[in-house]
Order: sequence, then C-alpha cells, then structure tokens
Amino acid sequence: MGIYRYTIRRLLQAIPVLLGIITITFLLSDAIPGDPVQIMLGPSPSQAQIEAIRAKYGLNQPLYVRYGNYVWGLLHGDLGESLYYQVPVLLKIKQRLPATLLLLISSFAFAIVTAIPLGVISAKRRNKPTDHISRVIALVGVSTPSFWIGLMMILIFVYHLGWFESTGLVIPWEGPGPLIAPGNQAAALGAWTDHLVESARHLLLPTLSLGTLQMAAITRIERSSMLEVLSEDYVQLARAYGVSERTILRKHAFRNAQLPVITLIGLQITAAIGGAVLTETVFAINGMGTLIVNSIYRQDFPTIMGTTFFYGLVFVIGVIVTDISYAYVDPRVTYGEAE
Amino acid sequence: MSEPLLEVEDLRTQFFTEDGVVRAVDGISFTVNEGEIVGLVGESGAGKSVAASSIMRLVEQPGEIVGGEIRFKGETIFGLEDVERDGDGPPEKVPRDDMLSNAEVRERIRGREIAIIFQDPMESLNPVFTVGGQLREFIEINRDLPENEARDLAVHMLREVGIPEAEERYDDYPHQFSGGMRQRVLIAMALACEPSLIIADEPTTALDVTVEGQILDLVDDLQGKYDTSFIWVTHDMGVVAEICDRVNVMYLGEIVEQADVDSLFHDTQHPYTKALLNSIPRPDQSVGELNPIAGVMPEAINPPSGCRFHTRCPEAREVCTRTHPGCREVGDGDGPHRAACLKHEGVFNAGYVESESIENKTTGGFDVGLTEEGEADD
Amino acid sequence: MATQSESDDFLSEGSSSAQEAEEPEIEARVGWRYTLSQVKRDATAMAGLFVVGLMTLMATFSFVDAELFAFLAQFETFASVGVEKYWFAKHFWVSPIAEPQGSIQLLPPVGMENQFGAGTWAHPLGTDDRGRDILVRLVYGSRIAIEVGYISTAIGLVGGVLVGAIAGYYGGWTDDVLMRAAETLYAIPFLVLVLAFMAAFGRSLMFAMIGVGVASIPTFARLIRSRVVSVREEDYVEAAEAAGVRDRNIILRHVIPNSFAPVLVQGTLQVGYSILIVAGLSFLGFGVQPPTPSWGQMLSTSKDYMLQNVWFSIWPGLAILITVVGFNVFGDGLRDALDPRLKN
Repeated sequence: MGIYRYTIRRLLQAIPVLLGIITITFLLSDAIPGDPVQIMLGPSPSQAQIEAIRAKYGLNQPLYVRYGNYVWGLLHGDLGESLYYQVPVLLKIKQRLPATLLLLISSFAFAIVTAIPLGVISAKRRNKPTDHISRVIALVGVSTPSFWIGLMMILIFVYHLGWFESTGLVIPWEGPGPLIAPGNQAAALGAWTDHLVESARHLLLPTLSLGTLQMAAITRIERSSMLEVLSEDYVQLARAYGVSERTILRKHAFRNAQLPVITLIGLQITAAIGGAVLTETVFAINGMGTLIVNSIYRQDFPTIMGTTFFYGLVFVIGVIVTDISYAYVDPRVTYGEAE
Repeated sequence: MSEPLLEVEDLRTQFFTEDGVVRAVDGISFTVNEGEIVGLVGESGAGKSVAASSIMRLVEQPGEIVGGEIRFKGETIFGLEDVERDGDGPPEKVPRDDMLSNAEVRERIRGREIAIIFQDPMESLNPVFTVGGQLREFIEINRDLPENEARDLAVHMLREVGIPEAEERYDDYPHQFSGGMRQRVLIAMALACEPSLIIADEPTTALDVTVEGQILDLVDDLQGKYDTSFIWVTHDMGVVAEICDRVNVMYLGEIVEQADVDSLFHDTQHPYTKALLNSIPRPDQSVGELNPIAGVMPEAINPPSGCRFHTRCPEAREVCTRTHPGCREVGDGDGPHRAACLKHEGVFNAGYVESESIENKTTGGFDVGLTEEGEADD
Repeated sequence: MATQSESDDFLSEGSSSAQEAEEPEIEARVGWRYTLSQVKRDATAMAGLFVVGLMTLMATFSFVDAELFAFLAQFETFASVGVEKYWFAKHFWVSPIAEPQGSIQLLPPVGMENQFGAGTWAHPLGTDDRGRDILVRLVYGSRIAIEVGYISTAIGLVGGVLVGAIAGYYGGWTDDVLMRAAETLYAIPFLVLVLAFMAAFGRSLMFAMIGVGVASIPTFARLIRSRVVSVREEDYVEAAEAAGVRDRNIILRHVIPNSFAPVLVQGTLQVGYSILIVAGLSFLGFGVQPPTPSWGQMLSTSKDYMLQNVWFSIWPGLAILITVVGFNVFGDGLRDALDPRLKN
C-alpha cells in the first residue's frame, strides 16, 4: 500500500514550508515599527536600562544573527519571551492553544456531519425543492460574515432565550477542578456531568458561528462533486449491472465524490483559523486568536511570531491529515510508493 | 425461424434540452436473434449509443424514451399505450400494463439478461475499488452466488479473457491495468453474468489497433463458447466486416439500411452506406484515393427536411429535399435487405427518376466545407 | 494522475485529481459574446450582476462625494463654490459623519418602536449610537467594501497571474522557488497573515487591501500555473516558440489570454471573499478608522448596543451578505457559462 512511505514523504515536504513560515513571520515582525523597548520600559528609560533590555532580547545584533538565533531557539522549543506578559511565548501558547483547537475541531465536526448529507441529498434531488433549499443555505452560508452570525445568535440564544453562554469556553478534558473530595465517586460523576454540560453550553454557539462557513463550502462541493461522479461511466456501468440506486449512492459514487471534499476540507483550515480569530473575539474566548490580536495592539512581536508559526503548524498538520485520508480513499495516490 | 431474442420497434428517444428537443433516436426498428452479432453502425452523433442505452432503459435526464416498443424474450422492456383523457385533446401515452417496472428492469434485465460494455475502458471501472471486487459484486448481484463462489468465478473469468496471473491481479486497482486489459475485464464482467445479450458500445474505439484485433478475436472465441448474442455498436466498417452477422446503418437517429453483412458490403443499397464503405482505407488505395464522406452530419435538433442525408448525398435529387423515405425492403437477393433511399423508384415511387439532381457543393473528395442545413424548406 | 509527476508541491501533492475537479479546466473556446449570451439566460447570475452593478455604482458615487470632492476642495476655484468633502451628502441628504445636534440615538427603523422612540422617515433605517442616519452610512460604507474588494483582488490577480505564468512557463527551479514561496504564503492562515502584515506596516485601510491582495496571490498563482502547464503544451505555443517569438511575448500574448477564463471566475469569487475578510478586519479594529463609515466597523460598534437597537447590527450585516451573495452568484454563473459541462 505504501501509505507509510507516503506519510513520511509528506512530513518531510512540510519542513521547507514551516521554514518558509518562520522566515516570513520573522521578516514581518522585524518590520514592526516602534521600539519594543519603549513599550516595555515606558516613556523615559535610562540609557543603561535600554542597553540591558536590547542585549537581553538580542536586539543589538544584525538581522541574520537574530534570524539564526530564532530558528535555533525554535528547534529547541524556545519561541522567545513575550514582551507584554514577560513569560515564554510557548507557555502562553500552551495556555491558549486548547481553546482554539477545541473550537476548530468542533466546528469542523459540525460542518462535516451536516454538510455531507446535505450535499448528497441535494445532488440526489437535483433541481427539486430540497435541492433549492440546500443551495440557498449553502450560498448564504458562504456569504455571511461569521462574526455577524455569532452576534445574532448571542442576541437570540443568550439574551432572549438564555439557553447558552456567550463568553469563554470550558475545556471539557480539563475536568471539573480539584474541589471534589477524593473517593467520592458519585460526587465526582456529578461534577463531571455538570462540567461537560457547562462545556457544551459554552461551545455550541461558537461552533455554529464558525462552522457555518465550512458547512456551506463543503455542502457546495459535495453537491457538485456528487453530481459529477453520478454521471461517470463507472456509475452508469453499475446501473447497467442492476445495482440499486441506493447502493450506487452509498457505495459506488460516495467514495469517489469525497475526494474533492477532502481536499477542500484541508484548504478550508486556513479560512477556519481566520474565522476562529473573529469567533474568539465575539465570544470572548481566551484562545490563540485573541492572543494574536492583542499582541498586535501591544506590538509584542515575539508573541506575534510565535502564534503565527503555530497557526501555520496547525494548518500544515491539518493538510497532511487530510492528504493521508485522501490517500486512504484513493488508491492512485500511493501508487508507485510501494516500489 | 424462432421468435427473435430482442425486438425493437419504432423506438424514439428524445432529449429535452434548453435549445430544443433533440430527436436522438427517431423511430428505429430492428431485431436480434439468438447467437447473432448485430452491428449498429454510423458516425458519432447518429444516435447509436442512445439506442443502445434505451434498450436497457438507461437513458438519463433530460433524455426520455417517448415512443416505440422494446420486447425481450417475450417481456416488454418498454411499451406505451394510448389512454383517452377525460377532456378533449389528444390521447395521452402511458406505460402499458405489461411493461416492466423500474425495479423489474433492474433486477431481471440489467446484467442478468442484457449486459453492456462501454466505449471507454479507462472510465468504466471505478478507480477506488479493486478490479476483482467490482467484478465479484456484479457476479453476486446477477448470479445469486455467495461471496466466495463469486470470487472464484471472477478469477476464472479474468483468466478466461486472457489476464495473466489472474489470482494476483484480482486485488489490483484499475489504474494498474492497461486500456486493453481493462477492456478485457469489462468483457469478463459481461460474460460472467451469463446474459443472453451483450451490448458492446464501441468497445474497441479507445484502443490501439493491435489491441483492437486481440479483443475482436477474444470476443469471437467467447461468443462461440458462450453462445451469447451481441449488439455491436461501432463507426468502423472494418470491424463490422470482421465480426457482424447482420448490420443496421444509422444516420441522424434513423436506420437507413439494414441487411446481412455480405449483401451490405457487396450489394449496397443506400448512398450513405456506400460513402461509409468508401471511406475505409484499403491496402490497394493510396490516401489520395480515399473518399471521406463530404460535410459533417447536421444536428439532430433540427434535421434536414425530406431525406436527412440529402445535404451530403452525391445522388440527391430535388425530390429528396421534400420526401422523407422510410426503411423499406429493396433487396432482390435471398435475405431481407431494407434501405431508405428514394432512388429505388420501384419501391418508393416518389418521382426520383424525373426529379432534377441537386448540386451538393461538397461532393468532391476532400472538400469538407460545412453543409448548410435544411436548404429549401418548403 | 497526470499532474502527479510534474508537481511536487506541498499542497497539491496527493490531491491533484481533486484539484482538477475544483479548478476545472475551462476552455475559452467560445468567445465573450457567447459567454455573455449564456449569462443573460441565467436569471440567478443576472440577479448577481445586478447586485454587483448596484453596489459598484453606489460605491463610485460615495467615492466621488468623499475622496474626489475632498481633493478638489484644496483648490481655490472649487472651494469658493462650496465644494467640500461629502458635499453632495451635506446638501442633498445628511452627512454620514457629522453627529447631528438633537438627533435621537439608536432609533429603530420606520414602523418600529423602542425605548428611545418610534422610527421616522427622516431616518428610514434608524440611527446609530451617535444619532447618525444608518442608511446614509450604509450607502457610504459600500465604498470601503467595494474598493477593498476590487483593489485587493486586482493586486492578488495581477501578482498571482505573473507568478503563476512565469512559474508554469519556465518550469524547473524558477517554478520550484516561486511555487514554494506561494505555498508558504498560503500555509499561513489568510486573516493571520493580513493581521501580521498590518502589524508590520500599519493598521490603515491601505495595508489591509495590500495585505489581502498579497495573501490571495497564491490562489491565483496556483490556478494560472496549472493552466499554463497545459496550455504551453498546445501547438500554437510550440509554434510560436519554434518561430523564435520571445518568451515574454509568448506568455503575454498566448499563454495568459488563454488561461484567463478560470482566473476571471476566481477573481469574481475572490472579491466577495475579500469583502468578508476586510469586514472581519474592521470588526477587529484593523481597517478604516472612524468616523469614515464602513460596514465592518458599524457591526463592530453595534455589538455593544444589540439589546437597545438590534437593527443597528442587522443592516450592515445584511449589506455585507447581499453584496457577497451577489459576487458569488455572478461568479458561479460566469463559470457555468464558460464551461457548460459543469452546469449543475
């Protein structure tokens, strides 16, 4: 099958891309105007203080040395120290990453679970009312600002109905906290249940708000890809051999039709990350998005670089995961890897 | 002679497009007897493939079979009857009671009784499933065999069509097969279901000549062995000569000549057939002597008036622009020989002899200028 | 998998057949007149074109009234006759930026009522948090959206076409270097890249446009490259090469025109996408600065007043939605017209 070789090759190919991301972010942050030293020390620092800070952050060295140092540090898991928070950037990212990942994963799950049936039904009932409705939903979905959907949902479901929460996220796997007395299993179970319910109440609206765009985009490609596959010769051949429409849809056409969908999902990750920045702002979630936005306001360039790099990393990993699933579905991809 | 295996009568299939109604198949009739290979010949766009898929009721939207009858082994695959509507107006066409339902066609006819081989072997196999798996699935459906027996039969059939190391290749994917090998797989599929009739829709067109020859030999062998009837759809008169027993020549949705293969070749009765035969390269001809058919076929959406071939016919006369000939018995030989050409004055009596010849600008050998459609619509 | 061997890109690897489905090869075999006649027959596409046209007209008008008049007002001749920024709005309507004395804040639209009063025809869509008319701000806000949409798409399109054409035409290491760079750019999430860009160069609208434009270069570059690779194999390009025509001329005269159809479709869709991105940037506070009206910034302000006057949020959201739907529908129609095979 050669899928392992394929995976390894994809991972190796990701290295230059990651290096490219580092370079771009490094150059961009070097262009950030204003002296970070001033931001840290206030309006009138003494010359000695300035020199000390500049030396500490290596700002008195030439560009290529700083670049080399940065890459070297990064290889050792050192992303520098945040100018604003005065803690290692990696620590800050470790705190913020779970919320963002949770949001991204749940919104993609929502999008995939709703969009694939919607697109398939749309294709199956092409030009019938169901199809028209699903196409309108998809069109509006790709054309609406996700943060506006978030605002409107907050208005309805939080302010008017009071069903859900509009601020923050509760990370489900972090547990209900240390308040439970050890050994009390019933209390622990109850606390866990409450914790998970609370987590869901916080997660639902941001998920819908962010997932709508992905859902709509996937629905559109699922429909057109399904229609294309349904007119292929091999589907017609299956019909000619007495295979029922149901089996054709579920077996013969479905798998092929997912190929463009998988590619799209991979490419949608970048749009979703951008959307997540907005969603985190709307729902006041302490994630990577709010971190990068605030860092830009504060000209905290080590944090900007670190977050951008991590976003790139999330995207690259996402693309590799979708590519491997693609290779799983389409045997042609790994053809030749086996030799 | 016993009852024919397949009878097609006055079949009409139309496509309802935005630009108008395309009469892809416009009233064709022919039969296929048991153990026979019947050719369906014509240029691309003549309606051969649509006719082929109509027989299995595989025509897709916006296409629809609108008239005629298809009978197979005493069952009605397609048939309409008139029902008076309550109000005035013309009677409505509705399916006859004895016409098979969609489910019946799917379960009893497709694959089991009639199988099809498509033109393009590269596109006919699903790229994400193994070759053996696809073969096995169709065998399971149409032969009611359990999985392991279906698998054994699939391997046997792969061997039968000449695929080396069939046991190992069973688990390969289509992209690991060459075009000729894939076409062999498709032939194996058709034969494995043991149908009475196989429709081969230009099965060798996409292959190169040496492979084409091998496939034709293979079909010839296996046809004798399994005693299956074939409808062989092609545009290639050479293939027809090699493989067919009887031939139907189609032009713009109609059958213009119908005869057994010998009298078609040696006693040609329609100018279109003659033109087709003249366009086959022969070893004793130089390229300069080749006679391609002048002009291009008009579109079926707006066919020429009168005889549809008159815009390109070297023998066309004025009467041909007005009178539309049906396909009638014209032969004097032993077998039936039908043609749709007014020049058979004795049969059609349309006044061809006294009618004036019309100048077809395009009668010359290599002059392939576009022909105006439907000149002199009266 | 024809493209498998020739492309070793990080992104297109393993997905080339999907790529074909997604970025279909559109044959420009039928000419513009035919395309137009096809679009005309498509009622939905025409509705999209109508929205696109209307918004463009509105934006042009707003641009003239704001920027052109502000520019002319510097000159004595024009200033003496009273030309000023928002001259038209001030004389024939209401100023989109001035906070009028005595105007009620957060009024609802006509026919509605809230704690601040009932809607009046003086402010058909209601007023914002500073008592300004929402309708006039919506109209003048169209300028930012459309301007940003067009200019950033133009930047991405020109840049992408150049990069893609050069990479596809020359192949070899040129191709490798350019496409690797494009991929890397693509691997940084769009909005994050633009944010980082604005952090570096400044938080103004201009850098938002340039940032969105630069960030969309890879999309166009990949699209055009895949076309160029196939077009350059065609006979007429080889004929031109054999005839000794210079590379630059071959690219400009033959390769690009023949690859333009899919780029045009992508461009139309990209305008809609850019509008969404820039609205998001404005929402985050990166973009046009107050008091200049923009839809994203109106939405951003309105989120603090949703309980008092929800319409303040609804209108700019709808404006963005309708505009982007217009571009998407028109782009889809264009694609269908250029390639009837894809018509679903």
